[in-house]
Amino acid sequence: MPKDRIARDAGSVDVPADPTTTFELLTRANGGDRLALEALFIRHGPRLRRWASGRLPAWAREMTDTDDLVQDALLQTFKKLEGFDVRGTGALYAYLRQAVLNRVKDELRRKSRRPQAVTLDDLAVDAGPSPLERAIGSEALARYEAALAQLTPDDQAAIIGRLELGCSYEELAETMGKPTPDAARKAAQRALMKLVAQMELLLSEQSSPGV
Amino acid sequence: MDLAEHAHLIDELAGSVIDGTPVDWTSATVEPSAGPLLAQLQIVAAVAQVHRTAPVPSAIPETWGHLKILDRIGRGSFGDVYRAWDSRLDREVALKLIPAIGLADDQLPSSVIQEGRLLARVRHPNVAVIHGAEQIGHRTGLWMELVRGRTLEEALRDRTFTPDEVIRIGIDLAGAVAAVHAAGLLHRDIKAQNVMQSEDGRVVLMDFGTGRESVDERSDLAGTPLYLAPEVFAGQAASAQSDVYSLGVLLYHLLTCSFPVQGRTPAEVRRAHELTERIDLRAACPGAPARLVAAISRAIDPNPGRRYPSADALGHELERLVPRSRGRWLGYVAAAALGIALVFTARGLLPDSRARALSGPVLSAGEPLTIAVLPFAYPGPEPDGQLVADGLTSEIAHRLGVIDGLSVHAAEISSAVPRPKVDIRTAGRDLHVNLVLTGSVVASSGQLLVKADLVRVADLALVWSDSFPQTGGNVKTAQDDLSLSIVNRLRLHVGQGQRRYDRDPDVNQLFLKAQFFLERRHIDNSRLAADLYEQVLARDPLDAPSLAGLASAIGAFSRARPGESMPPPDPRMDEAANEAYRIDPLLPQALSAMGSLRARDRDFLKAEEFFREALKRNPTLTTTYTEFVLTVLEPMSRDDESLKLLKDAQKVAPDSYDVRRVMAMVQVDLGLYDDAIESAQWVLERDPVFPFAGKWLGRALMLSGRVEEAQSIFERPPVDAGLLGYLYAVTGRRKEALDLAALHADEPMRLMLIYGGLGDKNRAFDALEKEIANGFWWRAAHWIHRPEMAVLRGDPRLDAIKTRLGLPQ
Repeated sequence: MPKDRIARDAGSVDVPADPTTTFELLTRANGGDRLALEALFIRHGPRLRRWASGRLPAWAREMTDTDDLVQDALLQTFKKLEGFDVRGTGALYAYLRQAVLNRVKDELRRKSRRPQAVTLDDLAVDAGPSPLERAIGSEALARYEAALAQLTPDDQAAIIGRLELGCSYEELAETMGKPTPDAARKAAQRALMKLVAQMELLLSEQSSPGV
Repeated sequence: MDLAEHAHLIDELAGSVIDGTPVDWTSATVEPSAGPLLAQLQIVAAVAQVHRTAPVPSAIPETWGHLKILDRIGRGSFGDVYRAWDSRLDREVALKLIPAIGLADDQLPSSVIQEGRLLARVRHPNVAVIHGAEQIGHRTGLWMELVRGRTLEEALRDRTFTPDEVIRIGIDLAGAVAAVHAAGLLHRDIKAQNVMQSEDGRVVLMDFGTGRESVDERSDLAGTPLYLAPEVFAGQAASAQSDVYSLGVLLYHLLTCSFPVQGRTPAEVRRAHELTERIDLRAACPGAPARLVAAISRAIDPNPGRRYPSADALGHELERLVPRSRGRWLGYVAAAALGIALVFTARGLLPDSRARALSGPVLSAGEPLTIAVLPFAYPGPEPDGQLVADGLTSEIAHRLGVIDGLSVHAAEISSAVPRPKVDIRTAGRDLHVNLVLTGSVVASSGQLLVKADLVRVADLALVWSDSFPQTGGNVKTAQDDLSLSIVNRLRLHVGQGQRRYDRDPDVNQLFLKAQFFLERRHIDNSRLAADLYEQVLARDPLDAPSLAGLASAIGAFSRARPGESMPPPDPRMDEAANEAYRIDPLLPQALSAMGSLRARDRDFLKAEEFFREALKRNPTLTTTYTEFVLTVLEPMSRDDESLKLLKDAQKVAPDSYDVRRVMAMVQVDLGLYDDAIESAQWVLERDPVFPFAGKWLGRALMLSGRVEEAQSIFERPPVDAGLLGYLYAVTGRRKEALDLAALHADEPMRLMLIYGGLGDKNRAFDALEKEIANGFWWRAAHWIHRPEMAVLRGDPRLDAIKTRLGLPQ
């Protein structure tokens, strides 16, 4: 069995060097081009799978589960993109991320409903933190998410695309409709500053008198 | 550090976070007031770090069931396709894994599996062979033939196809689609991307509806709108006609690299349909032959009612467009009224010796069977006579045309009279056939007599010759009867040729449903099956598989329940079995039905012949195996043979519940209790209410000493009073056993078991005699040699009964 091939395939998150832009693929997929849809999966699947594996608690992170979950979320999302203006908003990654996040939440809810004999307390113990929660704590994560939600769509796209999904600046420029990679980098840095300021604001509100 | 420097530092740190370069946070000293800001930046850096370093989950499982996954060959929106190694069969296969959560709400994994299993029955050279479908864990898998090559869409990137290539691909794909339809399924997604062209040039239809994400309109549109029939766009359900439409679009696409109805989005395609904006194939491909253009245009007619009624019909039309061989025939063909008519009379050119019928094989091994039907001659002067002969010729050609493995060059009847005379050798050579069927019609005192000759082209040997008198009726029924007799005689003589039964998909659904109930052989199920077969026969009275199924179903339900009196033999079983056999004497199901009929009449020898012949012709017919065992081998106490036969059946149909449950019965009778328990449990795990499986499990448990488990099975309603009474009797609960016997005093079968358990030989024999007197000889025959009835053995009365029933001692 050609193990090395599998390992390479699975480990590669680099976006294939395909000159076709994501926008073109989305447009074609919208027009019913199944090949374009497949190309979108190949392009964005590995990245979102890795993203999801940082967001799921260990018990739900069984490898194939994550894979299926992301696959499903992407499918549902790409199908709905008919009503989604893909040009220039840069919102694609935020959109995809949200789709996967929603799917993750659904899955957690579904799983928590399934074992009928298990009480909520059991579940809380059982669920355990996701790698991200373990790294920064649930309070900080909540603050991060809340601050992110208050940014403009473009800023959100920059943060998610670059920091969460690991896009290159070239890709970021393409997604955000920036003329150059450097312009995309600058935009991402500005977005980060806004995010951090927003988080600090939330923190100071939390620790204001009365708490 | 002033404010500006401060801002600069934070900016620089943010730059590092954004770039993903390492930051030494401990050395980043800032003013206390900026502390919280830095802390938040550090949090975001940690978020980025976690996401950057999280492992990418492997999307490729190492194994799935008995399949070892080698690599991924396709990544689809509805699951991935892998190259895998099937260790059971030692070969490479393609495995499609569909995650359970990828399915739509209304699509259960079980339906994918069921559809996969139906598809697995489709055997057609141009349909990817489905090996199996199963759910393991949370994934549904479908494993199938691995076709190496590229899709037609990929091939189209290099070039368009010539009209000749399109005709040939069209014929193959029409056959493939027809085979899928015949299995009661629709493809729903015929397109160039779903047809593989293998390295040896074979086209293979792949990716059936199985695994499509849902049947709702929206997702269909997101699929392949350019291939979608307009009525499906308008919200109607997919149908055989919508598959024909998609196939037509595919052929159009291969010729032109374009589509008849265009649009960049589903909405645009829909609008184009609504405005009936379409690009005429003549305009898109001016060089294409007119008849090909006409055929494709009819396939993609916006009105489904004006399209070809079936994929087969499209295929037949395309077959007529296959360029004929060059040579002297072309001159004739061009001159004939119908363009491709191949009409000649061959009387007088046959070898003289009529007595000689060929012995030995008709064709050498591996030689394909190809036949040309030459118009039957009418030597008399009446023009009406020639019409009758021509009608007969077309009927024969038509009937031969639905026989698989037989390539027929049917003659079209030209109005040209007189017809040119041609010798058979030349005809055969020019038509590339190795056999020629010809004949004549003679009218004598108001009756028709047809003579038919089958001639081998290579040496002009008369393979077979026969006369068929008209048996009555009008000219049309005479043509029907005679053509049927001639074709069946020919098939019997040549010894091959499975007749195809082309049913409309809705009728075929009824047929498949009937098969389902027939397999679950039980009185009520058999009645249901019989009703369904009757419905199919209402549409086509000559549907021999349904006639055979009807006979088998009647045979099963006319066995009556315990307590009911045995009905007299049902003449409908005789009629249905005989008619099936008459229509299609090579049809395995018809042979099987004849076997059941003979067994019912206790002609075991003849019955066995029929069953064995049926299995020779189709070794995968599970109901034939089980009927053979139940109606012949079991009553004859040939349990070892039964087990061997059922093991053979299991090899060809490892999924058959019917085979396993009959196997469980035989295993109990042979004392192989552990095996019996395993077989019965295999069935019950998959279908907890499969008829009789529980009963055999109970017997196996009881006889192997697991009395309590057995008792709980027998006590489950409907209570099995006979076996429960027997169980009470052999476990010392005499009173309970007798109470049950009193309760079922007029059910001799149950009494026989209970008294057998109590060791009361006389009462057991009384009950046995009563059972036989009530007409249930076959049930008595089953039970007298079973372990439970050991008490009867060695008694001369048993030998007498066996002799009376014609059973071996």
